[in-house]
Amino acid sequence: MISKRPFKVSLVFPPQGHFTQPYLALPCLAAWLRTNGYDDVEVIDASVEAYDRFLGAPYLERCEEIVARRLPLDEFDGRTAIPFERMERFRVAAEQSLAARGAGDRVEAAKRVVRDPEAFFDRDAYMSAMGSLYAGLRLVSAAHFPSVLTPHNFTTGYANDRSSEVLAATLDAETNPFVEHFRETLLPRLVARRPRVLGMSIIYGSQLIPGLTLGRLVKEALPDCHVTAGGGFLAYIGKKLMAAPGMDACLDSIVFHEGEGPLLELCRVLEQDRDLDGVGSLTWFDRSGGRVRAVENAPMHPIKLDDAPVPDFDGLPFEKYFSPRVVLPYDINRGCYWGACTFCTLPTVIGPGFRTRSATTIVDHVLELKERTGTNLFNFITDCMPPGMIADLPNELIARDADVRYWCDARVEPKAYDASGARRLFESGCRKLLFGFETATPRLLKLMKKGQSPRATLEVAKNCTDAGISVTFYAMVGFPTETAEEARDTAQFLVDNADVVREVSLQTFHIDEVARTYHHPEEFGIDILSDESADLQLYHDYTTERGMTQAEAARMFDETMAALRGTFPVFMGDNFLFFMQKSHYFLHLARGTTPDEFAAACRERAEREAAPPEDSDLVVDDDLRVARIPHSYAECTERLASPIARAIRPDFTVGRFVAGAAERARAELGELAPSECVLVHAPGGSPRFAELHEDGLTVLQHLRDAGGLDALLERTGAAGAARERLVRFAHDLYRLGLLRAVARRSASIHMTDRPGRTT
Amino acid sequence: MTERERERGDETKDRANTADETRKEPVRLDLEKLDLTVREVEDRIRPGETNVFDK
Repeated sequence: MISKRPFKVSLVFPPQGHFTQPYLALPCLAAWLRTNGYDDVEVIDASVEAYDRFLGAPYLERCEEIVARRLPLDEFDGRTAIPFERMERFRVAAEQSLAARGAGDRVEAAKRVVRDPEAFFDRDAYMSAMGSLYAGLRLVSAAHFPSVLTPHNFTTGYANDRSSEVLAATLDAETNPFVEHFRETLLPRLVARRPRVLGMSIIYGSQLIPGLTLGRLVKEALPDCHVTAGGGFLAYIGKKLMAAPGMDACLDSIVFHEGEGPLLELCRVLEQDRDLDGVGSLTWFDRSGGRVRAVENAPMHPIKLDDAPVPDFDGLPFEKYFSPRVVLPYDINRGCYWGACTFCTLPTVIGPGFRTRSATTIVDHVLELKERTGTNLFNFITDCMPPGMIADLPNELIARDADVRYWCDARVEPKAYDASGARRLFESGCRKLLFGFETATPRLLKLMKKGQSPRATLEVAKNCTDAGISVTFYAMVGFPTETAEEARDTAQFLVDNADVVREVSLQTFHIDEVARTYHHPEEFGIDILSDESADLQLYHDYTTERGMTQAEAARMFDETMAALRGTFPVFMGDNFLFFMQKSHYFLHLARGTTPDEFAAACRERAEREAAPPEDSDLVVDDDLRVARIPHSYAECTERLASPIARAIRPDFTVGRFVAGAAERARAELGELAPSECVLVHAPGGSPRFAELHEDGLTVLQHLRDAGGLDALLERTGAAGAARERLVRFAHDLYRLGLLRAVARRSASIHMTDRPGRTT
Repeated sequence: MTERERERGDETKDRANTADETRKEPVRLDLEKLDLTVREVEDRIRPGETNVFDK
């Protein structure tokens, strides 16, 4: 019998990951440690804890005070042009001068909606709530300007590809919100608990700075605690990270590839006070002899997947996720049986080889998780389900009456996803599948070594759609040698099949150091560019002999996305929020809504948002806010949205670092000239902002004073073209959430006489 | 409620009263000449926000 040990382990998922459902790695590690005798293991989702605290009234009220102090709009006096470097600051200051007040109360109400099992499914309430949550995160970001926290990302003003900047970010409490957050919340808990090991799961680049911030604080407060980290992102840059000067202040070691075996061995070695050089797949800092050096141990064999226990989600705060029901991740296999795609880097992240659990084990585990947690909703984690499993798993789920709903990634396998196979999948609870479509150009598919044709992909998608499964395509813009014409053909292919494909996850191609495109650029007609000063560089720019340049591909992304947003109901208007929140659309499908019904509801909502009902009057929103600003907000935002401006601070989910982007943006985007404008915003009605001329504000005031559009039309006696102009103006404001189609009543406008001051 | 907010509330009431009184009066607006442009900035979707594979 395995003895219980008083050896404390704390496993932490650092911010930032998505806030709608838990991640899988730590529950897998906790289960493995507990199965092997380490019972005192706690699992902490520090990411959702941070979102929950940041999106709360007390925190946002503090942010409002900080923004008023750090980003006053009246520092822009309107006499001088704004250089490119200060445009972002102006944009944020202008937005927050109107949006900050009352954000805390709106966010508290929004959290109740997205966590409520009924209100969540009221689409209007949901959209309003999500808008408030995004606005709350913009306020958090503004308070830590220039850092930006969204549900999908966390970036700072520091370059992620330079260790000196990454380390500096871990000390910068003014722009890194996690310094204060950890000091006030997580660190005291850890100090009280005194774990012997702190293990962090860093699977995304957005977790790097927060993770190292926590590592530094723990190492300072608990010198006896061994701080280790692992996860997909560190599999990419871990070696460089361990070679970076000063990194030993934040970490003691890194685990490469999957963590079960190495973490267990690390605990044993530390418990028995043995040397770390026996722990496989570990790279660690040897501090003996008065100097610090990184030691790279030999790799450890991965565990047999069927031996891995049921992931243990105990201790995770299910009530804090931003969903009414938790969707549990579960890994049915690890690795990819195909393993040939030239752009793919999964073998680096996961480790070599492909391993799967048996269908019997999977269903055993799923039923046990269902029993333990009370949820029957699953996100099966698989890079691609092998053809045999596509039949075996549904059969096992049906035979054992599992009664679950699930979604997962899939590879195009025409024989497996035939009409009857797709129906069987639906019957077993599958409600959504995501296929790697990539492009409609056969030449590029061949270059990618995808082993599939657009026709076969579409056939598989049709079979799934006919069976009632919602289909998502992953698509890529800018694979080397792709021409603009080919990219437009792909966009048209997607548009033409919008009744089959419900969602498209569109990406721009990028090169990282572990892909075949990096190691064999000659096969793709590209030359790789490197930045020698970036010691953590993972992504590279490149030049190409033919096809679109990187800049052209970035513009093509916008063009393709515009085409998709005009065609796909779930992409129209703010419906896009359904797509962007992991599992939220799936929750509708799991509840019984069909993809067709969902699409129809999205289309109806988009049409309703675009124009008011014919028999309604339009009144000014009760909480309309107005500020006179000394430069054009719209012009500023347009410039900041250009690909070159975005490339200055890329994110690790996109990965494109552009050499000299700041200098080029400065040259290409110029200055923002003074221009008297009126910024309008109704935080309760819409997260959007609109810019008017002074004339527009005058009419808006008359609209308010008259009590509505009908009354104003009557009082102006407007007819013909004049009437049409007034109606069009009102409809524009309605579309932006500034006017509401409700019964007439008076409303107040909070006016601003000077920039930044609402009166 | 702060002093400033109270003042603002009174001001709002005053405005509402004034609006009631003047609601029926004609409004002179030269709609042909007014600049009623509404500039909206559509939030462009960043590639990172559409990546449902990595996040």
